Amino acid sequence: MTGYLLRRVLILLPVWLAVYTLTFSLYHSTPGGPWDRERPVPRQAIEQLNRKYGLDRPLWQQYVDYLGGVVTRFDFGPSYKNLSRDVGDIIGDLFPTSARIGALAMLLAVGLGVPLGVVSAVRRGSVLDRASLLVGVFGVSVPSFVVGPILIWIFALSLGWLPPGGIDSWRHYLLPAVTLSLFPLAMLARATRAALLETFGADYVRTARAKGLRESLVVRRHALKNALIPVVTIGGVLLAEILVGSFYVETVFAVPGIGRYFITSVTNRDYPVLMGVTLLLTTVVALVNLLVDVCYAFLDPRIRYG
Amino acid sequence: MERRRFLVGLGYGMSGLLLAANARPRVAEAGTGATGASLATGPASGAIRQAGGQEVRLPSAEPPTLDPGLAEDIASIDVISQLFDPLLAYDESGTSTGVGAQSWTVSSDGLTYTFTLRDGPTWSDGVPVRAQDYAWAWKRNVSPATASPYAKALFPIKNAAAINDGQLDPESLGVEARDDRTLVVTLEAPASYFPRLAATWTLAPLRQDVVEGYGDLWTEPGTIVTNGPFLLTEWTHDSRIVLTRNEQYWGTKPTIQRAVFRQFPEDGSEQVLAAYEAGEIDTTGAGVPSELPAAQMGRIMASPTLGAEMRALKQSGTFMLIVNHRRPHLQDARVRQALSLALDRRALLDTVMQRAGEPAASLQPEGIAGRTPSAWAVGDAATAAQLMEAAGYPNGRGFPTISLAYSTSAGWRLFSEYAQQRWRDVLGIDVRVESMEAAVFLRWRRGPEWERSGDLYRASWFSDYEDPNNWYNVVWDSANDADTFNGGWRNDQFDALVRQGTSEQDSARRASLYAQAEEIMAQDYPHIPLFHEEVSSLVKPYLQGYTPSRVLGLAPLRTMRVSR
Repeated sequence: MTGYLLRRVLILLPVWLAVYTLTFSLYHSTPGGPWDRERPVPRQAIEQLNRKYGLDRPLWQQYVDYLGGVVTRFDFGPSYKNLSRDVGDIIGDLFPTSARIGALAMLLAVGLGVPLGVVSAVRRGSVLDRASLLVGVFGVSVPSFVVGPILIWIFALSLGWLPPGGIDSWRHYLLPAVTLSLFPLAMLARATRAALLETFGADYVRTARAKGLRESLVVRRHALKNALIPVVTIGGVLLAEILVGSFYVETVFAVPGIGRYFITSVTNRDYPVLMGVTLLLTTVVALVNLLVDVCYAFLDPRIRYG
Repeated sequence: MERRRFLVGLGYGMSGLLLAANARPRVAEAGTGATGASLATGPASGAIRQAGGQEVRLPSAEPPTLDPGLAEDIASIDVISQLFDPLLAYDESGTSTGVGAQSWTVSSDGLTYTFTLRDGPTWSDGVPVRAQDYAWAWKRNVSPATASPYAKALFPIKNAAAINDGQLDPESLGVEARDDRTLVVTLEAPASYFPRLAATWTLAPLRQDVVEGYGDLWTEPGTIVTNGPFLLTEWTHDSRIVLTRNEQYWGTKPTIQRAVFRQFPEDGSEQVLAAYEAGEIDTTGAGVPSELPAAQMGRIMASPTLGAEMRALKQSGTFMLIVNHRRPHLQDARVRQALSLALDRRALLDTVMQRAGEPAASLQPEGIAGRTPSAWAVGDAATAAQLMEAAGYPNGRGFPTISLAYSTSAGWRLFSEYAQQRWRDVLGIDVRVESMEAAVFLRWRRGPEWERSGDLYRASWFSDYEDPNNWYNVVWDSANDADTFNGGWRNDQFDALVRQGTSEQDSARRASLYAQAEEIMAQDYPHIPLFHEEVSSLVKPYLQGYTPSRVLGLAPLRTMRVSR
């Protein structure tokens, strides 16, 4: 297992390099640059800024220099837009907030979505099942920028229970997390239901039932554990997606998070921020995938990594 | 300054509609301020508010910098202008008063300004403010090494342009600290608007030891050293900035003790409104980060409470369409006038864009000497059709399809579609609307593609200082055209008049020179004025003295007061 983990982590290196190369070439082939501002920046200033940030050097050299800074000093460069901060500060300030909201949302999604899926699989065709289908369709199809303002209107403006935006206390986390959880919640509920229904037809479940086990035990011990593999796969993808922050949720709730900053950095052509956040995103996705693979081994003893 | 209108994306528009549909008027929440405050800004702030203290909470966007030499956007300048005192200040009527300077004199040739500094102002660390602090700041800001986006504000000073171009040493700048309290400025050529520039943030004094000692980080709380009526006590990036009153301030102390600038997303108009309605901020501000959402205006006006808290804040700025004068079919002034008169600006503002604004007949906004809107073409759709016919395009026959470009935003998409339809209906011409991502658009309009094949694009200009120089010279002098709007309009007589105007000492003669230039401009009709900026803003009744300036909408905290 240790050898496997080591190999998986090592494989991240070429992935990083590929993502770095792709991102680098993408932003350098996009028209517009960091100094294209509303107000014309004087030519001399542009030259000076290009010199200061090394943008006057040939592209291959910029490619090597930045990579060198990351590898040798773990330095992701300065922000072109926020002059007193560098990319490390920005990620350090904003990523924890996004990750906390994402983790809370995932907790809600798993805590409510999986049981919902189980109930609707067990009571297939019942009113409960249909209600859960309704929740599923709602969660998947109504986007967060619609749900968010509705929640603000109800809980912040009409009832006055929760603040409408910003991040100052735990109360500020609730609405964004709920909004963010709806999509994964719906996805998990649907996935759990489908996977569980499939395992209900499997031989070992029939055997368990034939042994005369209580239905609740059959579901919990035998069917659910095996049904969880596809659920964990989907859950991993969803987790990676929401941990790195949602642009819409962070905008609607005015949350200072990394998702919103990422989009802003594209608009500003803030290359180092763009690169730093992309690499962060890559890392999170890769680590979550690794976590998912490790979970497989626990869920299904037949899966062995050596 | 040009201001980018950050636009409410489709999503916010949609959610706005949803909200508007569900809306019911809300009861005043003025009385619940204390609970609102503790939610919004933590216990310390709640305590100040409950003690009947003077705290104001304003919406803002994350300032890219608090360095006066590097600031170019309103969010930054708004905070900087509370922290740093320049030499002098202007009020809305154009009267100047000394701030850092006690008095100043101009030599008879208009080339030398001698400022005598006040005895008393100190930096926030107790060190007296000296003339050397101004001289050093100006040399530093004009130096190409600083790469200041507003270095041009220093260009009237002797050698400034050459220094900024890298030809001369910054030490050769025409500014000298004769002693601790005497600052002597030598200009390149007479420039009677120089005091206006001396009142801007770029010419504020700086502490050499601090700026050099801490590098890019000198603007953080704890290291920053300022000389204004407020101190920077907290800067939680992307979240909030807290200023507190400078108890050591030499002048009249402001009433406000603490100001919290809450940071919202740049296009966060819905979020600002929600925070205002929840009692977390005291006003929706003067347009930064964003104006009130168009989709909510109906609900706001229908609510007795919100309707009464609504104010329209006039701004010194104009939205316009830039015309490409290199294109043969746009070279006839009658065509440009026809395109302009075919638009019904009132309907555009009230019905199409649903925003505040004052229909513009001329390019210059109110408060700029020389402005003569009556000299500009007037008329309705019928006049527009006649002009088009007179120009040789009856009913648009023979007129090519023209393009109208804008930087992607929902509001300007509405405008473009409106213009497209009006021009087809009234003038019989076809328009191709092109929306571009902001950075792509900004590069495009200064490049060869626009020069070769572009026809019209949407632009705006806002006064940095309320002086004709900031419009007739900075924007419309053909020598500056390539670096500003790149429309290719050139009139030698106009250029001569405005260059004369900028160095004229006598204010009456100066105004008349600019008025003559305005006449020429009105005749030529180089570009199409749309409307002058007005920001709709909600202000709680207990917040008094909230008076954003026409210039950049800067709202000085020193005039504000909270009275419950």
